Amino acid sequence: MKHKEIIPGRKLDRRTFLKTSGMLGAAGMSVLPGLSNVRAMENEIAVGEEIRRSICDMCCIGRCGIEVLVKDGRATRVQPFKDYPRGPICVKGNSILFQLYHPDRLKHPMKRTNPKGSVRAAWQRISWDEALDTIAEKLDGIRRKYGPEKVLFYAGDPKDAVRPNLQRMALKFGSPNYGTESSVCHRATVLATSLNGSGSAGLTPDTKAVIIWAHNPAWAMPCEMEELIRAKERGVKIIDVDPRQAPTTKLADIHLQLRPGSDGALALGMSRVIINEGLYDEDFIINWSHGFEEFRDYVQQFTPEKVENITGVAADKLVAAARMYAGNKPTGWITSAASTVHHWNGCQNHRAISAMTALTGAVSVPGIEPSVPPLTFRDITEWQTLLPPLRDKRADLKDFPVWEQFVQEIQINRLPEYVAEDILRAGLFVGCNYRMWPQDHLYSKAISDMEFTAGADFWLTPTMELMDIVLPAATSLERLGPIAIAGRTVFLPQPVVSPIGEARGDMEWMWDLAKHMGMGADFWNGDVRATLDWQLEPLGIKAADLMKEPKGRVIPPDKPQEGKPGFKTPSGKFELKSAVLEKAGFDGLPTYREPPEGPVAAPHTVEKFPLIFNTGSREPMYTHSRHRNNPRLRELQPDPKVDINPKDAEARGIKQGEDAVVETPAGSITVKANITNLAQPGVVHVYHGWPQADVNTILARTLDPISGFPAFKSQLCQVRKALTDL
Amino acid sequence: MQKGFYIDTSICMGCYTCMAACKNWNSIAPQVTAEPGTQGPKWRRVMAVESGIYPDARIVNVSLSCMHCGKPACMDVCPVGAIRKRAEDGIVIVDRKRCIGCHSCADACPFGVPQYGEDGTMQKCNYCLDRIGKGQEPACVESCPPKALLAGTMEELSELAGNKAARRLVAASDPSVMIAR
Repeated sequence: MKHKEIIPGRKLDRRTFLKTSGMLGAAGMSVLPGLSNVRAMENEIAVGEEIRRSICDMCCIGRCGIEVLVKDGRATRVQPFKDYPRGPICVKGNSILFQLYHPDRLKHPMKRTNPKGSVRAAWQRISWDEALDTIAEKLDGIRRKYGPEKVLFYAGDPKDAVRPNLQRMALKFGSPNYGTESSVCHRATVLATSLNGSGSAGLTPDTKAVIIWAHNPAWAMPCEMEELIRAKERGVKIIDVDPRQAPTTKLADIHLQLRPGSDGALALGMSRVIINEGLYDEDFIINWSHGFEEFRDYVQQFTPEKVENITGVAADKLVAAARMYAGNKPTGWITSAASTVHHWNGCQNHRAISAMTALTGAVSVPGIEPSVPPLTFRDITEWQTLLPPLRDKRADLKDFPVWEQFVQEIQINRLPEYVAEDILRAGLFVGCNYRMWPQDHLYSKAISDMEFTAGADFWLTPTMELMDIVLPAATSLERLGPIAIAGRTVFLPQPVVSPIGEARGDMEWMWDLAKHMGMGADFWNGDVRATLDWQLEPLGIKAADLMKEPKGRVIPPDKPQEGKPGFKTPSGKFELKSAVLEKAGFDGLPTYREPPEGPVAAPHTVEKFPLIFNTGSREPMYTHSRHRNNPRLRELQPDPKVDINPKDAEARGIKQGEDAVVETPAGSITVKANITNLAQPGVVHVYHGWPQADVNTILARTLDPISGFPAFKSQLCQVRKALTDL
Repeated sequence: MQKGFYIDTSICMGCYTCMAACKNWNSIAPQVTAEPGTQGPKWRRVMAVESGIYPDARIVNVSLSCMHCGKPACMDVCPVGAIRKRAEDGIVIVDRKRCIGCHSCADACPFGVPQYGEDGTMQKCNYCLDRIGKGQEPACVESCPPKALLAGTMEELSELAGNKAARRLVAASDPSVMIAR
């Protein structure tokens, strides 16, 4: 299968002047360097290429500025949007046009013409009006017959582009059951630090020591790397906690290469050193912490030697890291959205790390000093008034009571149960990937079993194949909005090219759907610009004015605001012992517990499956399951793979690039062996998002009881050489 | 004034951005075929070089393209004179119209630089002449997130190298590349 000429773009044009390079003498070139250089080469700038600016949507977090060169209405090339505070675009951003112009893009609304559960879905093209009419009618029917809360409003990867709009739609419809893929990403880290009281400082100009915990921005967020490298150059001490020797690790003064899932023990061990050696921020602990004595007593059992046994991190390294960190205040903490919380004990582990950083004073007391509020615009969800009356109808209320108190969207990871128990009957899925959950067949069945489902996406993905109606979504380069904020810059992306086929921006079709559902009055009668005006009003800008500023507008900071000092916790202090957790029946202290499928808690499993099975980390060219169909990215990593240490590979007779079978008690997948010191002995890293080798088919469905997050990273497996033809 | 590249391997992260930016700017068509590992032409390559064993293993990332050598081995062997070294900046360029696709240059190049696409003619890095002619950096350099990859004259790059103990890559063809470890 070849993907050639997806972007016809600029054909090589050698025209008259380029007979041979030899015809252009060196002397001539020195007279007219610019022109002759251009003429000498075949990749000259096409005449009439115009630069337009937008936001890149190739990953779920970057939102980097991007400049698109457009000729005759067609995007030809991209380059970094240098004046934009977020960037530069990475390998994915540089490949965005292969997404935009991919022949497999969904181009028209379609309805299913055969029953769900058929081997292959059959589709018929329909008009937008018919699609929206049908969705409105079906959802309204379910609302009347069973109640609005039976309808799930779900948002997948596009993140901020669509989410607030969809939540508004859910709440105005009368359903609190708005859920997103953040049920496996990011929310649990925020939940953990909110339970403690507050997050910690990141990297600031004053930081003297920073701990990077389970995060590899080199591959996950290249746009963050320059800041980190400049910090290194000015002498900031860097401690890297990562089971892998990842590219970011090379910046580290100390690398703590722990066993996945043992993060809590490591943090508690470091806390013990910091407390016992008197390296903690006494003022903060005395005045602003709650539960210090109990925390201090609890961590005493985490001696460096014991922690070495648990985590594999040498005792002396742990002590050195704790001293380096606490001895170089002010300290900072950089962590990934979810690596630390993709464990059965993830929420408590993350709290333990947060507590360790707080001991060193990395947490500032909210409101103690006047602060400038971050730049923001009006929240379109209006959840603060709309959600509380609907709270009792939340699907997750009984399962995840702690989550429910902190998160304004439902914890959706028990979707199979909610459908089986008739708590949810229908769904509107704006992007969704059922393969993101362990034991993913349960989720595809749940979506299939719903009475009615509709979805919007760029592609007819395996999840969209389960829908009754699919809608073609516009990418970031084809739509107006949403409003983007980076630092103090507010920017309104406009379409740089016309949408492919009949694709429409999510906000546009959703607002139209609201009209079809008779809710137009709550959605500015479908007028997207009027909506943007309403959102921008607090900034004193109209959408039309912002659209005339292609590089966005910089809004000067307001006067710092005085606040009442204190944390939003029951004690008003930073809770080393959480009252909320205790009340919900969990440990108040950030206790360490072994993963139930891990080598310590499951000694019988470990005999047959001796390797730690870590999944979910990112490679530079992919965003979870996305971009496998992007030829420019796929050629960089054509196959699913397992990173395995040379020692483990040799013991199994596995050679570089050979097929290897990764096996768990739940099943097996076949991937290519990548023999590398990036993996430590005893731990293998299998990359997720590959349909032909889906890690989620062989992971056990174990959820963190506090956050509901799946344990993607600390289960057990065996790897063996694949049998070739016998 | 010979132009060249400088790569700081202490901060190159193997993120492939330079590689994609190069292909994007120069409109190099990708190829993904059923044959595993097949790739389209690569004017720039990102590699990971590993040494040692756990726990003392070292992984170094490096990004390399045409070295725009002082004495280009490719140019000497080309039977039709399709490869030329520009006098004013030492950039080595290929005239694909003249190239007959004989692969002599690929055999001669010590770094495996020459690439061949669908039309069978040789293609490689041209230092983004269209960009530098307008005072811009080559696409790979401009795109590098950690700024590990730099472009300039060898004199300018040597000056930078002073701070980082960078060395000029040594080979018979005199490559115009500085590498910092």
